[in-house]
Amino acid sequence: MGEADAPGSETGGHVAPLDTTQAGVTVAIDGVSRRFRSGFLALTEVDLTIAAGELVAVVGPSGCGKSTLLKIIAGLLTPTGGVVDFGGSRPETGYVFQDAHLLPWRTAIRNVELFLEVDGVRKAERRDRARRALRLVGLADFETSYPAELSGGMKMRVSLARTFATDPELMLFDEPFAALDEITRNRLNNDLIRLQRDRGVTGVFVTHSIGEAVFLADRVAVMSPAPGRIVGVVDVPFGDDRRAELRTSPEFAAVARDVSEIMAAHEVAEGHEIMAAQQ
Amino acid sequence: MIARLRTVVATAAPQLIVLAVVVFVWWAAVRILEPKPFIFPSPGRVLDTTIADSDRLWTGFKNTLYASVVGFVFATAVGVGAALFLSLSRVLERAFFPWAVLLQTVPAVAVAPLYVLWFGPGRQSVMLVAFTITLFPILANSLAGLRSADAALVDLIRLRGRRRNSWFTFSKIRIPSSLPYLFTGLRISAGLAVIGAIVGEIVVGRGGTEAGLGYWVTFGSTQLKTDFVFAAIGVSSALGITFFLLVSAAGNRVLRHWHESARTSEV
Ligand SMILES: Nc1ncnc2c1ncn2[C@@H]1O[C@H](COP(=O)(O)OP(=O)(O)OP(=O)(O)O)[C@@H](O)[C@H]1O
Ligand SMILES: [Mg+2]
Repeated sequence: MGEADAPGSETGGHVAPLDTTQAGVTVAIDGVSRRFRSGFLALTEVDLTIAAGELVAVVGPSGCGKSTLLKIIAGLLTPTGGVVDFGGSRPETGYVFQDAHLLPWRTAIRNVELFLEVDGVRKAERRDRARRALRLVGLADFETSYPAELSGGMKMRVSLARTFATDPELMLFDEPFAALDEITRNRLNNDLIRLQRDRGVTGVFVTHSIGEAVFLADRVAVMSPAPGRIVGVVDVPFGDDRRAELRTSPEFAAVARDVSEIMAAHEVAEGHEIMAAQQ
Repeated sequence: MIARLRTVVATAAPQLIVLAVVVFVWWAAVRILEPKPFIFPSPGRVLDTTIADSDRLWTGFKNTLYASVVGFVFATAVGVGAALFLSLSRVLERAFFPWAVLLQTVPAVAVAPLYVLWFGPGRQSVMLVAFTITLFPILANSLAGLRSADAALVDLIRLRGRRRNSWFTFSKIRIPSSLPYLFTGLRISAGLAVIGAIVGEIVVGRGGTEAGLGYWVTFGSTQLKTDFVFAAIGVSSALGITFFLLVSAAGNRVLRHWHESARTSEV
């Protein structure tokens, strides 16, 4: 297994977060719509408020506008309707994609330093923070490895470390582990949940996997097929207690079933509407 | 060390065998068909001439090398500079790049006489032909390389308040990303530079201390010294290959951490 070589990740030892005083930010998504220049309506009237320190998972069929929603929250796309409000200035935002997006000519630690470099952080401090971030994701021994020498899961860890090194108040995840095998994905989820909850950062996690959504999130928001809107929000009543065993418990299965039912209902409903419209 | 030598021999062996076969067929054909030496000389005769005329060939080698390197270096500077400029915006690229493609279809042999007319029958014209012929592959490949930068990463940097065209994005992301492409262009152009210089020398036709390999090819054929023409052509190819290999080696050295991309663009 490609991941067996990530030391520290399995020890469960607590590593101090980079900045313990970090508080999450509140995100109020209010009536957000997005129509692309092609005329395609990707999102319509999305309402969702995410409390400080809360992790909300977003699930929905492919093409329903999940990535579009994250880009709008991040500020990479402007909504054509509605607003995203952070109750103040735009927070320090971390954004993690499905692929690691590392620079192949930089070692792991130099990759982790990249955003700090953008921010103009001094060299010594940069090094220090990057080193701690790598330790946090269990890659302390791989500082000088190049991406080509790392497994897929390890590259994702570097990508996470690069984001954590900037001490984000808001984390956006766009199917970050979708390209990995299930064992690696579960392991990264176990780590991620620890990191995320330790740090009390607000997070939005887009995924295709209902299991992943329920395991990670405080709430799961279900989106309809395009034009995307939120058709249901399921509370996940497990608090901060997210041990790996949770995945096999009946309570877990019950929550996952609730989510699938909402998804199924809307896929069918939309199907009927389309059929009705065509008749 | 021994192991390394062994791998070099192992990789070179098939090529050397082909070379040996070709030379043998050439030798045997000349032996059997007995063409007049000024029509088709034997390998032995070409080798003798190469040794006997090594002074001329060596001057030719140096002159042609000099002209191709100067043309190549200028083409690299101009090509990369233009690519950086065009990569600033899609509009710039759309405005200028099609014309660059059009220019690329103008045959270098056809512009060489014009250069002689404009700039005189000297080295400068030879270098200009080498420059002209090498410019486009470098420009096109660097532009493609600059465009190949990871767009998502550029977005992430944009989120941190740096513009898409900021110096940071250029120096830390776009330019390094373009290097594998740039070296592909440079490798193509290394061979072309020598061809350009030789075409230039043939058209310029100036001998003496400025005589390049192209001049010796023309000289040899007007004098019906076909063996000497063969020798000059052989040295030209050797020059082209050496130049190409040097640029490749430089590329592999710079790109040693782009493992993936270095592998796919390998020759
Ligand atoms: N720039 C664009 N112009 C036009 N349409 C777009 C653009 N970007 C996305 N879309 C469309 O908007 C819809 C939503 O796209 P988005 O990428 O947000 O989907 P998604 O829910 O993330 O899908 P997936 O789960 O497959 O990643 C898609 O139908 C897509 O074709
Ligand atoms: Mg998506």
